[in-house]
Amino acid sequence: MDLQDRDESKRRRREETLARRLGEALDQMDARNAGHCPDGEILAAYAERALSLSETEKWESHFSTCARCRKILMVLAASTDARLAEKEVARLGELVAATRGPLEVTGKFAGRSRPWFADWRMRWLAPALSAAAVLAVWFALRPPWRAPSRNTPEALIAQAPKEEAPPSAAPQEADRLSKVTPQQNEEAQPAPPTERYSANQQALNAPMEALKKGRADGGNALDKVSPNADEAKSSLQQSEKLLAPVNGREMQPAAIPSGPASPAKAHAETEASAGAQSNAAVAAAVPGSVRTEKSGNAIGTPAAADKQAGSTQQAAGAPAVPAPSPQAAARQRSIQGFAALKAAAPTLIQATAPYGSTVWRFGKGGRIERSADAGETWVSQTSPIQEDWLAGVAVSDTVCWAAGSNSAIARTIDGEHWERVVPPAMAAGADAKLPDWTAITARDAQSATITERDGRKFATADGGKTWQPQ
Amino acid sequence: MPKDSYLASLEQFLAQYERLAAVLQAVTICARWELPQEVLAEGLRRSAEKRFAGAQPDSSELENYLKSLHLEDLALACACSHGIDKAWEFFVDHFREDLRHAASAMLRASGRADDARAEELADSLYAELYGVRSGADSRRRSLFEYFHGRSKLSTWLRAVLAQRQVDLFRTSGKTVSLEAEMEKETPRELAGRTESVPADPEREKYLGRLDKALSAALAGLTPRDRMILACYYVDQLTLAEIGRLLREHESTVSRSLDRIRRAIRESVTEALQRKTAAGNGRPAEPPLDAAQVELAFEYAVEDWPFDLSRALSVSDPAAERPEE
Repeated sequence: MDLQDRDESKRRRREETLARRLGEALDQMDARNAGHCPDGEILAAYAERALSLSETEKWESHFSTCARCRKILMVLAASTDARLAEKEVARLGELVAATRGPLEVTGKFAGRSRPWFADWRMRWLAPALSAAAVLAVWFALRPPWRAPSRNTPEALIAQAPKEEAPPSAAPQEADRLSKVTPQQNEEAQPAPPTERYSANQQALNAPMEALKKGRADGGNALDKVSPNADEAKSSLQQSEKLLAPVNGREMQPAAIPSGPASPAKAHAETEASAGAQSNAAVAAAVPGSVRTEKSGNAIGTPAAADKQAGSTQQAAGAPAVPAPSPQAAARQRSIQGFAALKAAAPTLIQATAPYGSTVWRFGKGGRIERSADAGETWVSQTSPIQEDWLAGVAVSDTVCWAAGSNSAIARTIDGEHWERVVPPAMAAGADAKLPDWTAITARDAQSATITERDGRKFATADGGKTWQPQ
Repeated sequence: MPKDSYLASLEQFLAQYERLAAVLQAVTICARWELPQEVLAEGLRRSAEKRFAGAQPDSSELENYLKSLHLEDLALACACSHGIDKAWEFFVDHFREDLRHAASAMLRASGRADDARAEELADSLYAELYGVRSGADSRRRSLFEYFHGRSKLSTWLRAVLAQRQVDLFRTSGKTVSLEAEMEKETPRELAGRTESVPADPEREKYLGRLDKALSAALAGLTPRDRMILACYYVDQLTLAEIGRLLREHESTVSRSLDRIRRAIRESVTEALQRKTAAGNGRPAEPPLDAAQVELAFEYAVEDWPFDLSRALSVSDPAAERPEE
């Protein structure tokens, strides 16, 4: 055993020794032999994994010796469409600032903000610290799980309603993005049983309060949702200030840099960026928007939403509650009110164009509506089929597909007129029952894949003229 | 590109692929921009020409490539490059905020960030995107002409912006004060003034062999493995940051690092225990025994930091090969 330990220790020591020298060796490898740096398109395609295998290998060979390209890739990766947490932003700034100029290449320690040996040691300590942190979290969370009083229905009812969700949900999400430890999260949300409630339920509860407060509170909610509160606030202010339409104006190239952004775009930007972080945050941040409906994109599937609402309502109305406090009663009223609101709202499927402000929504009986301003106003469109739509996908501002019950499939390629698409004949069951399409994905006006309720998939690459089982 | 290649000119390209170009145009939103078919066709040709530089792809290969492009973004870029006002208006409305957000993320926390600077950085691209007249024909050349649809337009814009920002810092890094230069003296140089050189005559030899073995081990890694090492040991990125860059989970990156470190250690140990061939004016070197290998690693621990450039400068791949 001792011998094995000694061997292991020796191997570790050798790896440590080599690891120390690796950094220096790589640092001094000559990038001039790796050829010219790639242009922006190659970097962007690499970031999107759109290069072929041979190209990827070729450019990774260059990246391994080119600090400049690695920095650009890092900056590119860190400045993705999703908004960054403050810690990530700070780290990104450090990375950019740490980029060394040619003179610094000769200096071995130039640009390093801390002793290299210390950094190296910290890297080996990281797994141990992580394990310790996990243990600490486990011990911290363990007692509440076993506490019998926390598992009673009374506790559930008292804690389930998230009336205070709008002010708290967003900071919790911000904390999560900032890598706050679970202990801190527990402090912010002390009741462990609430973990049983999914993010969807928080999203369902959050808009209730947001709706009650009205649109005036939207700015405050945005403050909490966006890592960059000022930016989000200014975006909202800008979108409210610039309500005048811009579509008709003549754009002169010289005036382009100073041209204001479209309010619809600003609105969509707010929704998109917040949506990338948290559905609950979106619900809190955009009161009164189309996302307060039971949109599959915004709050999860309608079925899941109904299920959650049902369970919430059932918990609120449980007879085991002995004389609820005024606060609990208020929360219960909120839940019932929101449940009534949800029941009144029609079930709609929403499809948003990848970029732009065009949104479609689909409903029962062939209902199709289109919004060109990110959901502010809706225009009804003529459906070629009067079946219930179950799924939709927008490829662009003008191309959209919809699929639904009884084998209904439709498509628009001009954004205005819908045409029926002939479904795959082989999809019909042995009992001649027409299939229900529960999901659809599309790449363009020609290529789409539909999914039947039983999981079978069919794809077309010619606009629905022919279908192939997947 | 051969003169007779169908990618050499628009006429030849259209003669071969006019129908495909028409189909691709139909699936894009060219009609909205009133973009002439030959403009998009030229964009498609330029994209293929750049991708297959000098090569002559067969029809199916070319068709698959063109269909894999982000056609709507390419159409928008072509329309903007062509100077169509409606396309410009759409571009500004839909991409201006994204650009400004990316610029703000790049500038913030580096002590240079404010809304005005972010806006300035983002807007600095617009003049080039519109194009400047240059060359003998004074033709307006738009930055959009360098977009070929291989990525999303938004990603390409961020990449161009990231290039600008990183290069800006590299340029500013050229101005270094004398005090900073003085501070660059390495611990090794400082140590050389105060400490005596170890007396073991074999020390330098062992270190030289270890350095060469390490260089050979590095050269034997895949480009991706070398990139992971560079990100971790040179750029000092965290596992999560590397994972984001490579689109892998950080646990995968961690396992990769363990595997690479182990492979390098085994490769170096094996190289030290092999007899090396003579070459490059150097005599053949006998294999090191276990104790000598151990000593080489001991010296490597003491010899921190070291200058691998001396090993790289005399490194001859032939000399690294084991004797047959």
